[in-house]
Amino acid sequence: MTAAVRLESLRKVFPDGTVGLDDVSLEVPAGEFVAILGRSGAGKSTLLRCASRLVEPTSGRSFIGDLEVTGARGRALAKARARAGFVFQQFNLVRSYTSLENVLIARISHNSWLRGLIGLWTPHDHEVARRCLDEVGLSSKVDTPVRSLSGGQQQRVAVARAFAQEPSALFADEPTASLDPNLAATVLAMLKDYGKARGVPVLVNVHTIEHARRYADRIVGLSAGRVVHDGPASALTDEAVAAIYAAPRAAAPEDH
Amino acid sequence: MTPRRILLAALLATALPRVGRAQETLPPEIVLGFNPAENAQTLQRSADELARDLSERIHVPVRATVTLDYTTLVESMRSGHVHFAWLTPSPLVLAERLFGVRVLLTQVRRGQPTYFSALVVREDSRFRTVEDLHGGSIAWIDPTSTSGYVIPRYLLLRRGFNPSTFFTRQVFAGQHDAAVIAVQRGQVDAAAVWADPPGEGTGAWTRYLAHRAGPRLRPLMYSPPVPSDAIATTETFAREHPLLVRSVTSSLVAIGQSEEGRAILRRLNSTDGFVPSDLRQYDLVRQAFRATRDEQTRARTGRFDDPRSMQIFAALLVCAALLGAGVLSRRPRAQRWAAFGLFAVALGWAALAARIPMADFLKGWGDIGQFIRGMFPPDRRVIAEVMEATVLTVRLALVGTVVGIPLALLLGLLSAENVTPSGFIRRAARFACNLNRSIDLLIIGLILVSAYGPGAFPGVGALAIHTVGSLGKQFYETLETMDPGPVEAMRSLGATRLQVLRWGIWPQFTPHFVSQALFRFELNVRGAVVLGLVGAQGIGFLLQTYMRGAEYGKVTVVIAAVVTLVMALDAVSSRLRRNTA
Repeated sequence: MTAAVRLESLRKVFPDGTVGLDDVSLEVPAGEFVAILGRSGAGKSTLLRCASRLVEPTSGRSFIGDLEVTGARGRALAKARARAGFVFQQFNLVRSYTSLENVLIARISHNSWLRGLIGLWTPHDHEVARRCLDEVGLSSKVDTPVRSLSGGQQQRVAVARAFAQEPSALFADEPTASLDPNLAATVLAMLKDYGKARGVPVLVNVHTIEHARRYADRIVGLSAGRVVHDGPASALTDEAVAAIYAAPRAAAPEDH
Repeated sequence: MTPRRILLAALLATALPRVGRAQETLPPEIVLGFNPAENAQTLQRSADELARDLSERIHVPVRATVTLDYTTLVESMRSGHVHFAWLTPSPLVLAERLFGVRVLLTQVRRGQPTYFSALVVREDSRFRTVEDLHGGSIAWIDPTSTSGYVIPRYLLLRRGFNPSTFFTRQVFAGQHDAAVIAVQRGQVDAAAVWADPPGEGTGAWTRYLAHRAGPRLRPLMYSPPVPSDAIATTETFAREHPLLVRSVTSSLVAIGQSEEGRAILRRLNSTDGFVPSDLRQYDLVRQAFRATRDEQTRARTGRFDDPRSMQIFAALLVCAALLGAGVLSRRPRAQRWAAFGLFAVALGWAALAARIPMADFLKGWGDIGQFIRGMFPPDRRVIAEVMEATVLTVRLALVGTVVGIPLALLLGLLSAENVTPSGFIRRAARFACNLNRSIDLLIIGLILVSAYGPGAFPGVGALAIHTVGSLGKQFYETLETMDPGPVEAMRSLGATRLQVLRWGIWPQFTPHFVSQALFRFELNVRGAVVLGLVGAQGIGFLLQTYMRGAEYGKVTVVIAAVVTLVMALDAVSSRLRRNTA
């Protein structure tokens, strides 16, 4: 089986010398739901951002499907980024626009540059956008400006936006951190259902271990930019959790 | 029609068209430039009559333009917007220093191509000789006025008096009528103005005070004869259009010799006619001009030569040092008092620069009261004229703002870190913004007025240029505070740079854009009012005209219009801005 997301020796050193990612390699097959655990600053966000090149990795390669994201430039890079749907902790919606308008923007990579620039969406785009909003249970809020929605509703709009992108992979960076536990479970379930139904790999950074255990097929632990754990969710022992959340060895970045 | 005129017309009718086909191409119209001597509006009417008469004689369209001041007239000549200028002697000398000037004719008044300058005082004053004026105050006209500054000042210098120390207060009245009125009201002790020959005892003080009640004035000192105004053109124009220049010259002479022409000229500063002039006649003016210029340069440097001002300065430094030590002390009470003292000393020192005339302070209030009394009743006849100018001012501001906004937006986008990745472009764009902002609106206006001549265009241009820098800076500062979240989301959706700008930044920026552009428009309306003072069209220009003509009843109408306009704009724009926020 070919991996739907493949990371090869991804490394990220920030301009101030901090090592964000230290030689991370990971293969995620289609339809798998991976929860990434780790302390704050362990490199979880950097991993997802380097994988989709929202942040430029220092070295290493990233593939989504058969496309090498790290090799693209210019318009091709934009197209490559469009392959990964991204859900952010702070939703990152255009607050003055309605739910539908926000979701429609996700169709940008399916249209010509000019259409995407002026927002001349096709009837098909409208159809997709409405269906995705329906999928997250917001068909009644289609024409409501996002700024007047609750936090949970806003995150569902953001999820619908990622769906409407028709991505080959779904990345979610702490999608539940700003939500109460019930809403968090709803959002994670939506992401999981989408991944299973479409055969799309889902990589989610989470804080809550119970959520990881309950929804994830597989759990990856990061510490100081390195993969310190990788195994099925069912096999996650308390010792493994303790190891993931243990203070990183101080000398680790300077090892080589 | 006099035989002479028929002859000239015939000569021109045959000469000019032929020349036009051969080597001398005629300009589409000829512009005669005048400097406002008294009321700009009555002057414009008379100047138009002269232009019409001249046009009939030379068969070329002639337009008369009245510039705001001498400097503008000289600059308009240099830039070729004015072809023939009616110049008083010292602007002529100024022009000679800047470019090649050909003097064609000298004005004849009271049968003479010369006139005089006089220092005048109130008849009931104690001043008998020039020496008596020591320690008094004087009103000059302006630094390029021949009889109202250059010549009398030169004469004082030659007598060994340095006007900067001889008088305790010097003011520029702007116009001769304003200067004699200031003396009559006792606002200044003396004024330097034009005069008729010494034996006649008449001049600006008899002319402008003829219909005003109040004390009379008498001359205290006369100058030697000064050559009268000149009609001049530039060397360049004279070389390119020799025949045209010759026919304008002879036509102007002919106008002075015809009945109706003489009637027009009478209304132009009591001119009888013109005689061919000789540049050497103006030597006295040249010397005087040079002397007053040098004197100004010297006077500017001598500030700290005065031991008394050095002592004051040293005392201030000691005070500041003591109080400064107090500020650094550890005891909070001492610190507070020392800081307060330091502020008081600094304020006192700064206030010295304002030279508040303690003795005249209350008297000044009285004069302001008199001015205000003069403002009532408002002159209702000008309401239509003022409203028209007000609307024009708003239109100028609107065009200036709208023209400036796209460029401001472009500069703003190029300067913003979250829009433009190239540091080099960002720095260049910011530099352009700051350079633009460091030049005040009024200065841009002055530069454009001297380049394009007074009118609406320099006003609009100045506003547009000013808008680019100031709004550009405001834009990029706001752009950089935009939430980066949507930007990142757009990038993840596969948007290109321009698409990110469109969906990630623009929706957030729109309300700020609208409110800042509206506020800039409001500021530009006020700017447009002030620009009128430097010769751009609109309400400010009208205000200036009325003030110079001492028509205070009309000034009232202008002030009422400006206040209403500014308040209405403020109300409308704050309402609109609230709605977009």
